[in-house]
Amino acid sequence: MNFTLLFSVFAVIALVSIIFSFSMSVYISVYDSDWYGLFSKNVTNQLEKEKIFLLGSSTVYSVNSTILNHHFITNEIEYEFFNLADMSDSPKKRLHSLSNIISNDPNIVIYGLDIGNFRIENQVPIPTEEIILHPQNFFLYQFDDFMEPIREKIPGSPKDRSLSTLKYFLFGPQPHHHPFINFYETQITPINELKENTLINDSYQVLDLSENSEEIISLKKIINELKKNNIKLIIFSAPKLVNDANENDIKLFEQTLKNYSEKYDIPIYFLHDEYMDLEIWRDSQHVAINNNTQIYTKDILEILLKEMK
Amino acid sequence: MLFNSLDFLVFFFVVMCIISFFKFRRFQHLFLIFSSLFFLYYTDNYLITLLIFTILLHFYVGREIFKSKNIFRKKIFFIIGIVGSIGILGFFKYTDFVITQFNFFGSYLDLGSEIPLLNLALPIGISFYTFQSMSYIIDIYRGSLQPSKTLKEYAVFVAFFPPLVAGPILRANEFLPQLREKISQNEISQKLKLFVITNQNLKFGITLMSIGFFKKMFFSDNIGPLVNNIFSNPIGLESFSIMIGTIAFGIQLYCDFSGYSDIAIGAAAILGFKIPLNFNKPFFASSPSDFWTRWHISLSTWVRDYLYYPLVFKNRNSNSLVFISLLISMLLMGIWHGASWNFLIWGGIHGLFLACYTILRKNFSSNSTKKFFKSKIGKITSILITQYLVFFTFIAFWMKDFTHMAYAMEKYVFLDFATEGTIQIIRDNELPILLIILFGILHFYSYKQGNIVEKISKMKIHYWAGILFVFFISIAMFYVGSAREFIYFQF
Repeated sequence: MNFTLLFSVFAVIALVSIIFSFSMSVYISVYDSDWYGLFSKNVTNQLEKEKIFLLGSSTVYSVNSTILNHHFITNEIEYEFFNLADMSDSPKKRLHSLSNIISNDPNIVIYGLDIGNFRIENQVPIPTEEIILHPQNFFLYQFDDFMEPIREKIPGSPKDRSLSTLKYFLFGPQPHHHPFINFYETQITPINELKENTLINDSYQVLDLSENSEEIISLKKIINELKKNNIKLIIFSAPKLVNDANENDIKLFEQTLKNYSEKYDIPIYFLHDEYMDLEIWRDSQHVAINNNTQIYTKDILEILLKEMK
Repeated sequence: MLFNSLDFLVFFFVVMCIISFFKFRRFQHLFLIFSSLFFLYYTDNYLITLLIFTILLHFYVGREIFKSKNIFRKKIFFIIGIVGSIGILGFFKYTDFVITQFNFFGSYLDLGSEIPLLNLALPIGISFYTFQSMSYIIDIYRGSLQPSKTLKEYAVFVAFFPPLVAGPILRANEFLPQLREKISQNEISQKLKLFVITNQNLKFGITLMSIGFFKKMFFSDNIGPLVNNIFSNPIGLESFSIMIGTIAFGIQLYCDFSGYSDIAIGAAAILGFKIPLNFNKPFFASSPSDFWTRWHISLSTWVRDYLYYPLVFKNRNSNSLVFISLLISMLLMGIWHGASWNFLIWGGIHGLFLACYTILRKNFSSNSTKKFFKSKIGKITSILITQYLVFFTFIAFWMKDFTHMAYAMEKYVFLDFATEGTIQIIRDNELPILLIILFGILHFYSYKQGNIVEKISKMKIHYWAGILFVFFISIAMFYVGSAREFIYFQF
C-alpha cells in the first residue's frame, strides 16, 4: 500500500474538515449571534410590532408562522411571530443563544418542550441478545462517548447552513420567520404505517428530571432569565405520534412541568398526546408541514390569543 | 451497513489494512469471507443464515451437476438448485404480494375468507445473491463453467461484500478465476491469489469510490426532495412540472444506483478484484436496446443470457416469438425490482418499447434511414426520442398509486403547455434544479471524455488530490444531515 497516496487522502479529508467546520462557524456568526437572518439591522429598527418567539426542536418547526402572522394582521393584533425551532434543540443547547433571544426583545416566548429533551444515556450494559440481534447498536453504544462531541459539531443539515451562508454573502441579510429550519411542505404518512414501523426502544435511555439534570438546570436558567427581562413565557409539550417513553415517564414529565408551572407561575399546555389519532404526521415524531395539518398551528394560535388577553 | 456511513468507512479501512499487512494467502481468503459475512450480519443479523444456506446449497448442487454423468440426475440437481433459489427469493419477496392479490380477488369473488399477511422482513441483497447463485448453476448445467474447487472460493464469490447488497450481479466465470494466481491472459494456476493492494488499484478504487459518494450524497440526496414534492401527489400539476419530476427522478435514481455500483466496484478494485461496469452513460442511449446495454448492465445481461436467449433460441426470425420473449424478459426484470404492480408496469412498458424497436429495426431498416441515424442530427434525434421514452417509464417506477401514475403519464404524453405552477416549483427548488443542470453538464462532459475515472486516477498526485478535494468538500457542504439509504437496498 502506498502511504503517500493514503497520506494525500487523509490530508484532503483534514483540509475539508477544517474548511467545513470554519464555514459552519461562519453560519453561526452570520445567523446565530447577530441574527441578521431573523432581523436585518434595518428591519429591526423598523419593527414596531411586539415579537413572539417560538422555541423548541424539530417537533415544533411545523408551526406555520405565515398563518399566525396573517391572523395577526387581519385582526389588527400588533404582534409578529417567529418560529425559531432548531434541529435537536434542548434547554441546554438553547441556553447558548438565550442572550440573543433576550437582546431581540420579544414580548412573548412560547417554548415547546419534548420529553426526549430530558432523556439521557442509560449506563446499563447491553443485553447479549441485543448485541447479537443488533450489532450496529452495540458499536454505536461503545463509541458513543467518542462520537458525541463530533456529532455535536455537525449541524442537523450542513446543506441548509451552506445555502443560507451562501445566500447571505450573495444577497445580503434576508428577514424570515423560520430562520433555522427550512420550511418546505412535507407529505403526510398514513398513521397506521407509522405506528407499525416505529419501534420503541427505550433501553438505552432513561428520563432524568432530577434537580441535577443538566437540561433541568438549563431550563430553570432560561425561565429565570426570561422572567428577569419581563418576557412572558408559555410552555407546551410538543406533540408526538409515538412517544419514545413509557407511561410512567410521561406522567412524571407532565407532573414536573406542572410543578414548574406552579413554582414560576408559567402557563402550561399539554399537546404531546393531543393529535395521536389524526392523519397529520410526517413521521412518528413530527407533524407534517402541509395545508391539512393546520390544527397544530391553530392550537398554538389559540394558546397565544388566550395568553395575550 | 450503508456505504455512505462512517461505519462502512471504518469497516473498509480496517479490512484494507488487515489484508494489506497480513500477507498469507489462506488467511486473506478466510478473512475476506468472515468480513463479508460480518458486513451483512451488521445490518441483517439472523437473516444472514439465508446467505449461508444459499452458499451451501448451490456449492453442493453445482458439484453434483458437474459430476453427474446421467442426464436425469443432472436435471434433478439443476431443478433443486433453481427451485432453492427461486423458492427463497419468492418466499421472502413475493409471498405477501401474492396473498394480497389473492385476498383482493377473493373479496371480489366473495369467497369470504382472507389470508393474513406474513409481514416478512426482506433480507438485504437477496435479489442479487440469488441471481448470482442461479447463474452459477445454470452455467455449470450448460457446461460453460467448471464448479468452484472449494467451498471457501465459492463463499467468497457469493458473499463478497462490495457488491453483496445492491450489485453489480457477479458472474462466476468472471470472478472465480480472480481468486487464483494468474499465469497468463487465459490461464490461472492452482495457487490461491495473494491479495496485494497496489498503488494503481488503490488510486483507481479511491477515485471511483469518491465519484460514487459524490453521485449519491451530492446529487441524489439533494435532488430527492424535488422528486418527492412532485411525485408524492402529482394530481393537478402541469405537464412541465411532471416532466421536471421525471427528469429529476431519473437522475436521482441513476446517481443513487450508479453511485452505489461505483463504490462497490471501487472497493473491489482496491482489494484487487475487477468487477464489470454496471452503468455506461445511459442518458446518451440512442435506442431502447442501447439503453439496456448502458443501464443496470449486470441485470440486463443476466436476463438476456439466462431468459431471453433461451426463449428465442428456437426461432429468432419469428417476430411474434421475439416480441413475446422480450416482453416476458422485461416483465421479469420489472418484478425482480419488487413485489408491486408498478414495477411490472415499468417492466412491461420497457418490454413493449424494446420489442417494437427490435421488430421495426428488423423489418424496416432501409439504407436511407440508416444514413439519417448515422448523421449527427439523426443521432441527436434518436437520443432525444429514446430518453423521452425512458423517462416516461420512470413514472411507473416511482408511483405505486394507479390514479397518480395514470395522471402523470397522461400529462407527460399530452402536454398542456401551462407554465405558472412549473415556474413556482422551479422557484421553490432552486438547488435541485441547479444540480440537475450541473449533472447534465458533467454527464455530457464524461460522455465526451470517455473513461474519465481512468483519466483522473492517472493524474499526478497533487492534481488527483485536488479533484478529491472538490468531491469531498461538495459532499460535506451539501450533506443533507443523515445517511440516506440507497434506493436499490429495497430490492
